[in-house]
Amino acid sequence: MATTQLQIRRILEREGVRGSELPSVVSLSDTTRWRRVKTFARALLRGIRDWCGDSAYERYLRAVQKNNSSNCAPLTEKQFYVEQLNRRYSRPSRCC
Amino acid sequence: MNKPLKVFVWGLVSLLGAGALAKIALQRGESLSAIWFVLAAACVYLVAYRLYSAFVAAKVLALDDSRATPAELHDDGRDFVPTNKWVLFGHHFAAIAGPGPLVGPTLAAQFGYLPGTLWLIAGAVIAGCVQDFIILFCSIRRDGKSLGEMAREEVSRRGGFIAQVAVLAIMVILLGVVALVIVNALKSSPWATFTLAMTIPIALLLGVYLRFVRPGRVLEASLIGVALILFVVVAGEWVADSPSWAKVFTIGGIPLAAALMVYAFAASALPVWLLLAPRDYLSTFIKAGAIFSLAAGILFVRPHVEMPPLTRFIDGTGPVFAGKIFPFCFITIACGAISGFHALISSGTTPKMILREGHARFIGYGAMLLESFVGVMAMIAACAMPPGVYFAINSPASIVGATADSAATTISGWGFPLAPQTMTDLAHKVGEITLLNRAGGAPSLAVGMAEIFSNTIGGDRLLSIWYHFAIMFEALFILTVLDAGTRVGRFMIQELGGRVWKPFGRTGWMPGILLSSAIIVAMWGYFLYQGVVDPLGGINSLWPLFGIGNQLLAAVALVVATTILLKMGRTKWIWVTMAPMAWLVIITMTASYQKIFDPNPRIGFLSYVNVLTAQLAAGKIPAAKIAETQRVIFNQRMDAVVTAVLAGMVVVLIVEALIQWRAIFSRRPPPVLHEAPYVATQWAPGFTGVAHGDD
Repeated sequence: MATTQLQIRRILEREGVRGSELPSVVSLSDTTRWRRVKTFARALLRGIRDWCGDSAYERYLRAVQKNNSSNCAPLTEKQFYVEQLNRRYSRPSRCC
Repeated sequence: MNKPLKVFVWGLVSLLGAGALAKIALQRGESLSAIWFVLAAACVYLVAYRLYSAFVAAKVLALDDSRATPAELHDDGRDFVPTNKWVLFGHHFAAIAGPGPLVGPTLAAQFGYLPGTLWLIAGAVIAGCVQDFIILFCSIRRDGKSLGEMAREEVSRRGGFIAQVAVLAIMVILLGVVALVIVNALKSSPWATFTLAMTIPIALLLGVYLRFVRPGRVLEASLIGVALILFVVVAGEWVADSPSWAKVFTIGGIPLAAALMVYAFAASALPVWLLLAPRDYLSTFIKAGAIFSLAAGILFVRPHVEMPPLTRFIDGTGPVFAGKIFPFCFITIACGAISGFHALISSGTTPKMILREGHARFIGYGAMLLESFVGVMAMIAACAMPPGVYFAINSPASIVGATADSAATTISGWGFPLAPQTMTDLAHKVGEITLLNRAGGAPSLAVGMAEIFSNTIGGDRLLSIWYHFAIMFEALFILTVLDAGTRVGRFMIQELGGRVWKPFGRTGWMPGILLSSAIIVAMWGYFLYQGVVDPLGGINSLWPLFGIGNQLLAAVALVVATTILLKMGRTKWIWVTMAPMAWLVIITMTASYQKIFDPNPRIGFLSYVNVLTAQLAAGKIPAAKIAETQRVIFNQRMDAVVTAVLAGMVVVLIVEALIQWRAIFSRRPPPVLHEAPYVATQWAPGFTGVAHGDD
C-alpha cells in the first residue's frame, strides 16, 4: 500500500503537482514512515550481526538444513563456535 | 538520470577533483584546509570507481553475474557462506585495514604532505585497487584458491613455492616491525602500557563468556568489551598519577619487547577462543569506530595542514628514515596505496563468501579505495600538527638529541621552529613524561588524532584521554595483527616442517605447536630486538624492509594476475596489471639495491657495517659498547641478506613468468587455464543473500 502511495505521489510530482496541491490521500502516513524506520533498523542490525559473526551459527544451521545430504547431526553451537574460530585463524585473516 | 546529465555530473566531479588536487599541489607559503585533501581524494575515488573499475570489470575481466560463485556452489555455512555485498564489504575492509595505512603515511610525511598524498590516491586507483579486485576475481573463478595455489597452478610449481616462502618472510618482517611500533609507543608510558595490558584480561573474560556463557554472541560480548576498554583508557590516568602503580607500568624498550614475545607465543599456543578471537572482535569494533570518528572529526574540525607540501628531506637526509623521495616514499607507504598482503585476503575468505561475480568490483576495488582514504586521513592528522613537533616526536635521539633543548635547537635549525617548552607542555597535556624520540609513527598519529578529537569534543581538558584512546586503538589492532600473524606463521612453519618430519605437521600435536610457535616468535622477535637496540631508532632499517617485502608480494600477485589475463586471451588489456607490476618491480629493486649498497651509512646496510667496522678497528668504540656494536654489525649484515633474498625471489618468479608468457604466446604447449567449470547461478537476479532469503 505504502509503495503504491509513493508511486502515485511521484507520478503527480513528475506531472507538476506540488506541495499543498498534492491530495492528502497520497501523503505518507506516520505509520508507514515508522514501519520504514523499523525495517531499516532491522536490516541494519541484521547486517551488523552478519558482519561481526553474531549470526554465523544461524547461517550454518540454514546451510545444513538446505544441503541435508548427509545424515550427520549438525554441530552444537559451542562446537561450531570453536571449530569456526580454529579454521578462521589458521590462515591470514588480518592484514598489515 | 539521462545521459547528458550523467556526463555533466561526472564532468563536474572530475573538475572538482582536479581543482582540489591543483590546490593542494600548488599551495605555497600558507597553511591549507584539510577539506581540500578530502575533496581531492573523494572526487578521484568516485571517478576512478565509476570509470576505471567499470572498465576493468567489463572489458578486462568480463564479470559474469550468471555464473555461480563458490559461495553458491559449496555453501556449507562455514567457509563458503553467501553474504550480502555490504556485509562482505565490511568484512573485507576490516580484514585489509591494519596499522599500515596509518603508520606509513605518518612516516612519509617527513617529505611533506604532497608526495605521500599523491601516491596514496594515484597508487590506490591504478595499482592497489586493481590488484585486490583482480586477485579476488581470479580466486572466485578458482573456488577460492589462495595466491600460492594460483601461482603454482598458473605460473609454475616453483612460482607457487616462492609465493609461499615470500609470504612467510614478509610476515616475519611485518610482525617484527609492527611490534616495534607498539614498543616505541608504550615505552616509559605507564598510562598506555596499563591500558593495553588490561585488554588481555578483558579479552580472556570475553573468551570465556563467548565459549561457555553465551556461545557465539559476538555482538553483545564485543559491546561489553568495548565499554570495559573505554573504562580502562580513563582508568589509565589514575594509574599514571599513582607513584607506586606508575612505577609498575613504566617499562623500557627491551622488557616491553620481551613481554610482547611472551604474549604472542601464548596467543599462538593457547586455544584460539580464549585470547586471540575475542581480542580480534574488540579490535575490529574499536577500529571501525575510531576510523569513522576520525573521518567525522576531520570534516567537523577542518584542521589546517601545517606541514609544507615538500620539505628539505626529499634529498634523502630525513631524520625519520633516510632515503630519497624516489623510491622511499613509495616503499614507506605500502598499505594505503598498494599492499601485497591484501592479495592474501582477496584470495582467502572473501572469494568464498561473495554472492555474485559482479560484487567483486565493489568489494575488491571499493574496499581498497576506503583503505586509501584512511591513509589520507592519517596524512592529514600527521601534517596538521606543527612540523617541528612532528619531527621532535619521530626523530631518534642520535639525530636530534634526547632533551627538549637539543631537539628544539636541531629542529629549528632545519627551518621548523620549535621551542623547548612546546614539547614539554605537549607531553604534559597528553599525560606523558616525554614525547621526544618516539619513532614509529604511532605517537605522532595519536597526537594528531587527539588534537582533532579534542577539538570536536572536550577541548584541551580531554586531550590526554583522546591521546591514550588513540594509542590504545593503534596498539590494540597492532596486537591483533601480531597474535593472528604469529598463529598463521606457526601453521606455515608446521606445514613446511611437516614435509621433513610428518608429526611436526600435525596442527593438534602439542610439542609441534609449542616448537613452531617458539620458532615463529624467535624469528620476528629477532627483528624486533634489533629494532629496539638500533641506535638509529629501528624504524629507519625495518620499515623500509617491510615496505620492500610488502611491495614485492604485490609484484608477485600482479605477476600471477598478468599470467592469468594472458591465458584468458586478454592480451590487449594486460597493461592494466603490467604497468603497476613494472612500477613495483622498479621501486622495490631500486630500494633493495640502495638499502644494501648505498654509500650513505644511514641508507645502505653494508656501508653502515663498513663505518662501524672501521670505528672498531680504529679503537674509536668504547670498550663497553664493543659487544653492542658487533651485534649491530651482524644485524645490518642480516638485513642486507634478507633484502637480497626477497629481491632474488621476485627475480626468479619474474623469470618463471616470462618463460610461461613466452609459452603462452607461442602456444607450445597450449596454455591451460585452471578455472573451475562454468555453472549457471540458480539465484534470481534480485537475490541479496541477506540471511539466506529470510528477508
